Amino acid sequence: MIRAEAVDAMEFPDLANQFRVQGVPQTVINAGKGSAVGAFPEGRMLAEIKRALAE
Amino acid sequence: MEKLLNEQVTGQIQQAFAELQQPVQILFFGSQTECDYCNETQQLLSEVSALDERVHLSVHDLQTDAALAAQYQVDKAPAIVIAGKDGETILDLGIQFSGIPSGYEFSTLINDILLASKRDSGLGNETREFLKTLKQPLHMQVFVTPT
Repeated sequence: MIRAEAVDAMEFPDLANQFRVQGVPQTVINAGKGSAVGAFPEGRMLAEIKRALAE
Repeated sequence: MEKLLNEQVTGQIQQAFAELQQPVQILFFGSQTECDYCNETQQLLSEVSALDERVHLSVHDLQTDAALAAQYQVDKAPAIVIAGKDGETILDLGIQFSGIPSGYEFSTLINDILLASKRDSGLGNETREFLKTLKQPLHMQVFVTPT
């Protein structure tokens, strides 16, 4: 149900461009439903996940 | 072929692997077509897995092992799936690294292996309770650069 994937933005530039990745780390949730730029503490990441899933 | 990891690094990894608990299965997916870092990634994993008998490595190809790739939802190469191993059973923990884990990202690989071995996400209760209620798949892609 839950998958966590680290993606090398240099190796997969098309994917990084698709999600407009400009800085790292950037977390993309469910193919762009949500996004978190930078290091997010757990609570804020959880809030962003909830927001993305509600879309 | 010349080793990618020097003695100092292998010593550090062995020290970290002293904390391993349950066996870990690493599934490497390479590709015959357009894969600049597949050989290097495979060699790196081979050297890492040789450092501890609890770390197992299997080597696969994105095209010829398409069914297995689909099972683990792998669609790129090189890709590394870090799973648990319980006897002959592979436990899919949903952890994947796409690309070569070099530079700063090498420690991500080592930490992923330790995490999978502990079979514990380390997440807080609130997060765990919410994730238990998930009704749709959650895919989180963390874009990183190796240097």
